[in-house]
Amino acid sequence: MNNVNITLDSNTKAQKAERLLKSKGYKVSVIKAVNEKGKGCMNGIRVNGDKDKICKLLESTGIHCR
Amino acid sequence: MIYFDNSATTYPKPKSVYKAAANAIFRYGGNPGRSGHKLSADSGEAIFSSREKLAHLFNADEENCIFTLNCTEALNIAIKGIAKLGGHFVISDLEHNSVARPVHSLMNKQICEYTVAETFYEDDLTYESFRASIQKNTVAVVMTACSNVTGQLLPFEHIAKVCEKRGICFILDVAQAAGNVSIKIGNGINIICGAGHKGLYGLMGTGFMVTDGKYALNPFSEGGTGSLSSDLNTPDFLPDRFEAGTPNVPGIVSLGAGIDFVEKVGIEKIYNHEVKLKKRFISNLEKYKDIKMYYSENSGTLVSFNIDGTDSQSFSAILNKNNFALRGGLHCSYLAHKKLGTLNTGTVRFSPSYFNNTDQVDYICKTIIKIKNNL
Repeated sequence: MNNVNITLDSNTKAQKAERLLKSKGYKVSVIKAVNEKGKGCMNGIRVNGDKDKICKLLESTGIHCR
Repeated sequence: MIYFDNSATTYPKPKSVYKAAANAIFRYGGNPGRSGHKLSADSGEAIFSSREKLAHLFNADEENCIFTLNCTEALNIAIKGIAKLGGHFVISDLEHNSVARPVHSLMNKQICEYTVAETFYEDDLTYESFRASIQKNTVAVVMTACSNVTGQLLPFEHIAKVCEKRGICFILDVAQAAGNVSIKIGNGINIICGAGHKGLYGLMGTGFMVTDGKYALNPFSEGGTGSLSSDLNTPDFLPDRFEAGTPNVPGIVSLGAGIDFVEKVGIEKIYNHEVKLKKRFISNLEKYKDIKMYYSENSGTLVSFNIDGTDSQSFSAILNKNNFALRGGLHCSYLAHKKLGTLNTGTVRFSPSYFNNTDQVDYICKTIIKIKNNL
């Protein structure tokens, strides 16, 4: 599985997402990263797993994936 | 110095709080949520950890827990955030100036009006007083959970439910109650504003606003949030909407440690200890006719008092010379002292913490008696 960057609204959301995904066994860290469209530094997470599946999980808990 | 001014700020703090704060100064040197390097990430993690603890304490969502400079700032965010032109506030006659001044200022600017609801030692009468004060244009009821002058606990849960039924925002000031009384967001309590440095044993320079997210508030202070920097509009999501600027990282970390301490010891145990000291203070002094005491019989942990023929500032100055730290004066609570009839003298306030003991209470009582007999 590859590492993927997922952009989130804020650092707080990223922290919350990290907690949630770690509890589900994912390898994850909070990052400030250039997002996929090259729009500059954004808050987010870097996680090892399927991006769509992870985003679905996050959205179900109210954490919006940009 | 024997310290009995814990309503102003608690002292000493638990050792774990000092350690956490000192560690934070050395370890968390990066600005949280700003940069991509490890130091920034570690600071962000530390902030979130304290946010989680605050959320757990009040049964709230983490994003709805906002860190502020102090309780005053939190109350200003809430009150000025919910205010709208032509609106009306209801506050109690025991409110601290951190509630009274913002609503009074809104009235002076002709934005809102306000009504001061009378409180009573009988909860039913207080409830009726608030209910009768609510008007068609009331936007919020703002009340203290516990008076910083008399220690009276008000029936806030009951009044919050009335507000909920009427679709009115209920803002609760827990500056004197957090850490002593178990309070949860919800059941009509929409916004909780508190101090980090009193009953939660964090450092001065910390406070919080916890919301249920039901009411949208206008932002108070706007600037950099480390989020959506390419957008000139303040974020509409929490906590960023109300946390512009660099946070007080050591303070917030210390607050997390303070919450850990309170949860470990137990709110009920802390409250019962302080009540025991309050009752001992009262029983040591109540037989003296020239000592007038103001306190709530059935609730709260503090006592205000005066010695006949003296003013409170002078008496507290003498206590200071005798190595006791108590506050005399109006305690930033004009309304409460107006209610008590003590605007001319103020009162001396005895407010113990978990770290005071019965020997200290006996000692201060003996000293008060000695001083008053020699006046």
